[in-house]
Amino acid sequence: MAKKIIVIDDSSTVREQVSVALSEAGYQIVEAADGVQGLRVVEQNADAALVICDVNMPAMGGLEMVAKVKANGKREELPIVMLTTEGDPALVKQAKSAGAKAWIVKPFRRDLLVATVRKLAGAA
Amino acid sequence: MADPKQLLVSRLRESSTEHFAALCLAALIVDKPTVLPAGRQIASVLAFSGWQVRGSLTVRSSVSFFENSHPTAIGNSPLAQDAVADWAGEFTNQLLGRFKNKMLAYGLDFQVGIPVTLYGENLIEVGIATDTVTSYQLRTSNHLVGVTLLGRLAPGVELFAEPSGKAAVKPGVPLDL
Repeated sequence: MAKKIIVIDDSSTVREQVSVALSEAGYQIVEAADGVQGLRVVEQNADAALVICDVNMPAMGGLEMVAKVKANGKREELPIVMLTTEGDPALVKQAKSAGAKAWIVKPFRRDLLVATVRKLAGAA
Repeated sequence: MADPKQLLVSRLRESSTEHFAALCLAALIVDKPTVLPAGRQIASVLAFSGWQVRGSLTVRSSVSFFENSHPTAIGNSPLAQDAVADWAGEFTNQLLGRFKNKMLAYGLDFQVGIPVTLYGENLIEVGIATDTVTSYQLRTSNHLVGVTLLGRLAPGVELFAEPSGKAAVKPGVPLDL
């Protein structure tokens, strides 16, 4: 069974871009359009191998979502990659403190995205 | 200290050419804008705000530019209108993000809003001249793309003449945390 990646971004274009790149690398994709949906999808998919998450989203931002996913030692094993237009080192530090494992500023390079996912989640 | 307005102009122009290049779109900046060809157009407007500056970035072009540059467009398969609109908003968001990240090093920071995308025919931008920081076009092989930055700087804002502040994460290359 292909490993499952959760992709959370309010842009349908970005979700599609990431999904195409990772599907072609053999992964199964589940999508969400904001942090509230993302939190629900993460909770519903205990078998997810990795999450890719935007920062600036409606309803709940990505950094808040990561903090909630990782709160109280939950889902410690689940790698989270931030994929965002933000490049502020202060936000990167916040993400690291919340438990994220990588930060990519858009536009992403497909080969590097796939390599990052393989490194953190293993091959599909 | 640098002239803030000149710095905004030069860094936005730089961001524009880098953004087009990152999307594999060869483009040159046109300083004397021409009227966009008549027909269906899209304008995406993205506001930003901070204690030092507030304003908006508008990217405007033909619908076909956004259809053709859509990252997952395949051949001649038509894209749904909302998919094209979403891409126009994301295009503008990524351009403003690149610009914002550059300006961090000069001591300028702001929060980015949510893009609004508008469809229309023969769109005309009308704004307050004193708020126009810069307006230019980029010419690709088949399209003209208009970029307009409106902005109001707070009185007395000073920016570094050289990049001296926070260095933002570079686009595209993953950073391990």
